Amino acid sequence: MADGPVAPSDETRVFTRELNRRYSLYTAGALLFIAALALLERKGWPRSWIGGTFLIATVVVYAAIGLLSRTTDESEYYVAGRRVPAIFNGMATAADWMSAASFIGTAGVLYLQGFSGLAYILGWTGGYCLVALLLAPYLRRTGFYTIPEFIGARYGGRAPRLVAVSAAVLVSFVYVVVQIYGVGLITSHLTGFSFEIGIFVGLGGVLVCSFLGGMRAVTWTQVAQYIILIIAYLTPVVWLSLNQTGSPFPLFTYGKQMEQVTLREQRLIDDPAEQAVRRHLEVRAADAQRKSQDVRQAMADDAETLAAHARALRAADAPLAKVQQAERRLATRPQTEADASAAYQMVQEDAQRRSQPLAGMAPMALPHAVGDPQGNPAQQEKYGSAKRNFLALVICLMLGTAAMPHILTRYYTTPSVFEARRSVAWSLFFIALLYMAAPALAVMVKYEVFTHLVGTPFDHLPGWIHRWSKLDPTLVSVEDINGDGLLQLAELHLGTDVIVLAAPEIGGLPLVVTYLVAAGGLAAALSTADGLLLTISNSLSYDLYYGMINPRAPALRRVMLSKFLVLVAALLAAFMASMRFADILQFVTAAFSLAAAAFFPALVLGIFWRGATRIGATAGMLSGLAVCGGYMVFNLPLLRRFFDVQTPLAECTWWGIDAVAAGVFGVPAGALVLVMVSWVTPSPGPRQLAALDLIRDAAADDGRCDLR
Amino acid sequence: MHSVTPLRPVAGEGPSSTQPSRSDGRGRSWRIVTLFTLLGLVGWLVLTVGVVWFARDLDQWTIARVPAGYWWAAQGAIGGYILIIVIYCGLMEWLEARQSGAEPDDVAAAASSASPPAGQELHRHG
Repeated sequence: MADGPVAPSDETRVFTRELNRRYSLYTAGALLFIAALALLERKGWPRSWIGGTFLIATVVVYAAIGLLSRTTDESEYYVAGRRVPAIFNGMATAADWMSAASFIGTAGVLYLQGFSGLAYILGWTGGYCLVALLLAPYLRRTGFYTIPEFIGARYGGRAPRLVAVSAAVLVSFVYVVVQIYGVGLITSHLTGFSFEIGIFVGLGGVLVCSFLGGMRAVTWTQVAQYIILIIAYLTPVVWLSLNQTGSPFPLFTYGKQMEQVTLREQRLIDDPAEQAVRRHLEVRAADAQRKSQDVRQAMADDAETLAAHARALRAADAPLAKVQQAERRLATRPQTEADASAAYQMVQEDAQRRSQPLAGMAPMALPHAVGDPQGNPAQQEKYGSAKRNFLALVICLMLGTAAMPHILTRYYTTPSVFEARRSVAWSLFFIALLYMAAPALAVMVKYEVFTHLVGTPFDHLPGWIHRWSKLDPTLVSVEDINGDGLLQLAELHLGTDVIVLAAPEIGGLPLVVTYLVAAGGLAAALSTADGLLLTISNSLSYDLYYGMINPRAPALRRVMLSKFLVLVAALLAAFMASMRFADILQFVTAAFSLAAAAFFPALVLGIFWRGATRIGATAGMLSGLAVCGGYMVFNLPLLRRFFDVQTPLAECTWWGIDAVAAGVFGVPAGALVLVMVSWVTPSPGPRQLAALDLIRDAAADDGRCDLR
Repeated sequence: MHSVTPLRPVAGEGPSSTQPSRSDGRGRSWRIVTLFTLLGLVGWLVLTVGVVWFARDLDQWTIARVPAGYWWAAQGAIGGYILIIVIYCGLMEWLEARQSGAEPDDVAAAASSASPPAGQELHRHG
């Protein structure tokens, strides 16, 4: 160790060289595989074969890495033997971090919501500053296995650790459900299987990794998955940039496309055909509103109209398909008053939104576009509220980043504190590669839609529209509302989750790119699901069972229990995901809020303030969670209905902040309670303070002073 | 063994507080660490809030033909965050190198001589 604590050891250097060699080979292999499939596509392979090959090949490779890294050794299972060099830990963290929502969601949000979508990009990158400055080096210095274990050692006693375990499981479970939803969506897109089968096929891949080899297998698979997902994300962006601007550097050319898009936006707002569609939609919205005022009458009227329509078609000897369609609509109309009312409301909301300029999409580039700082007071108020909400969301995502247990445990796996710190920088670098490309992708897809797709005759629509609308009409749907036979922007509905997955087809790229992107999305979802499932099972087996229930359990039994719990958590999450919640970003944001409120104050104050006590930390975590969860219950429509909240929505919000950003209230509340309770309760015991000294002590950096 | 610990921390004590049994150098280095941390946090906060709050005002300029408000939120800020982390890493590495350089022996000796037996004690207990 002649190099001192601020240089990688010889062992790490040799290992890094070996890893470089292996992953270079792997990358070359992946590129060859893609090239081979592109060739086979030219030769006329059918699309289902290409999709199937991509799915099977990638899942088999991940599973093979998982199998090769199988282990029952405790340190290998929980922290990959603490041998992961900074750069590879950075890649693994990036894959762990970039979930289905990041991969398939962010560019979609930028496409639909314009500047507001950048809140996710800012929030999911800036949080790493907090990880690097406040947490990663200190966590690594302790040499623990899990985050609840850290909280348990710093504060002592059972209560803080127990609360931490519950919070870790809650947060990770909400987040893993979203990942598995993503897996199902992508697998069904790749193969044409149904959504439910897709979930279970993808789940097999997750399980082989985390089940057999724990953190060791997950780490090395995540590096492999990162390589696939970054190739998959950058290929269409670079290709579209080449097609549209002739330059392979989208980061420097997307400005030009943005100018074009902004010009087209104004022309689309003024276009008479668009305005006609918008008037039709306004009528439809008003109609639906009238119906929802007298649901019973409207249901009777609808039944009569539909029946008459079917009769008329039959009498006129219309084509069988049309008659059947009319009859199906009659048969599947909502039967109960509650269903009908909900249906009318949905039609009204949808029509109302799409009757806005640009089909309800925000302008691409204008910040906080819903209001105007120079406008009338109402517009000024809207502008202020948009700005506040944007900042609240950004802060909430950043604090959540610095509190996600599955990310923080990754920094336990580096060989030293020095490598942990550097690996945060590497993580953010690898994450930035994708996030910086997302705005360029969104702009270029929008350019394609505005210039090539809008105005196409309905009988010449590209094949992807039909395929996606058949797979899930809430993602893609078209309807000739004004009857002119041409597609207007307001007649096209594209969901958030489809923009990235369909981008290659929208841009007219070869089929192999489409499936490459899907494989990348799958890698993103699987890698995050791996990390989350491991966090859940380790919290339960290591912290709850071994730490509190049976401290004498032998290491092998702990590891086996952990493996069993991975299986249980995965199946439970798959069951939840099969119920299909819409809008995955909402759920992700909620998970971040909860994580921030539960962990951030307890972790950071635990390191930087000697006075934080056991009771203070427990109360702080609980009250943070309570404030955050309570705000969501009172403000999220889904939860309001579930808990039957009667108070009007307008009275429940604070400063007009969205429910999903509740973390901005939870964190200060938790911190305040932690500090105040700590002041009035007995100070930390000698062992806790000794632990704290070691956490702060740079001389302990060679890892020999691990707290365990 | 536990001679380092009986100190009752005063409520509200700041993060830069030290223990009497700690050598002055150790306490000072922790103060420097918190100073670096604080500077990094200030940079992070200014960057984040500035980019969000003044996006419209920045839009009067363009960077690579992108309105500057959008560019800063989409690309500039991320670059800034990476810079903050890299600078912090550099400063911490410099600090730690200086610390281990101040003690003439190699790191192993530095660790065993500088770190109080509390570490080993803790190890035995937990």
